[in-house]
Amino acid sequence: MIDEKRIQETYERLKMEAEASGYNLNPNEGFTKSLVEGLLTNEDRYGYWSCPCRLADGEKNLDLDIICPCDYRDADLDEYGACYCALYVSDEVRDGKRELQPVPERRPDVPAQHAAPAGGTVTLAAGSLPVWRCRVCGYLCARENPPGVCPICKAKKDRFEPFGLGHATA
Amino acid sequence: MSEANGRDVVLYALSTCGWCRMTRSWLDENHVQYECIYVDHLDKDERETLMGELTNRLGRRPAFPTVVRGPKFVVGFNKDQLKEMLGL
Repeated sequence: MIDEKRIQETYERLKMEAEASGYNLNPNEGFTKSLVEGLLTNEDRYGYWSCPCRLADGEKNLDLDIICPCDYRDADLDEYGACYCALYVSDEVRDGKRELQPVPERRPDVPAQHAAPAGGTVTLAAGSLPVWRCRVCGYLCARENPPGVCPICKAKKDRFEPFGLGHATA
Repeated sequence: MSEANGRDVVLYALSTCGWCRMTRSWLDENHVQYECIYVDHLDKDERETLMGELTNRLGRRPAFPTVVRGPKFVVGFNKDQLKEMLGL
């Protein structure tokens, strides 16, 4: 069992971070706190915030794409008004203009690898800094290495991939 | 696949999942007799065996909740599909 105080503190922090960067937590507080409890359970189990609604492998490399916020959140928010587990919802769902529906799984059976794009990576002013892309929210930055934490969505450093021509033209 | 405890309906769920919790409540409200298996509570070997069976049955990576009745199954908390499968 996860301590009530830990759930409350995590919930408040997540809500503040979400709203500061243009996202919404599910306004059903009881439901959302149960998901926060799930995330904290997974933190204790695996050492990272694996999605509470997906079965984690337990090996971080194989679970990177489902660490909350997952790689699929923004696409699901756009299409269904909620992320897969409904921790995050769109403005329409938050405001009651759209009903919350179960979200089908879009995670591929074999997740994409965090490999360098086939078309070559983009650099600014050729030969200078590489460009990094946050797999969660799409934030781009040009620097030697990815930031420790995405300034937009707070995803950690290991969620960044080199941004390349394959992405630019896709 | 053998159904747990000889019950007709089996819910495969994760103990941490909000949709799985809603599915349980809904099945209870509708007085459905079912066996609930929390896949995240199984040990590694049991989990791998079960996931292999479910993958074959569903034809893709399993998602939760999945409710199975005989040869039929419903993936996700889709009430209309569940009603049809369960004859409610």
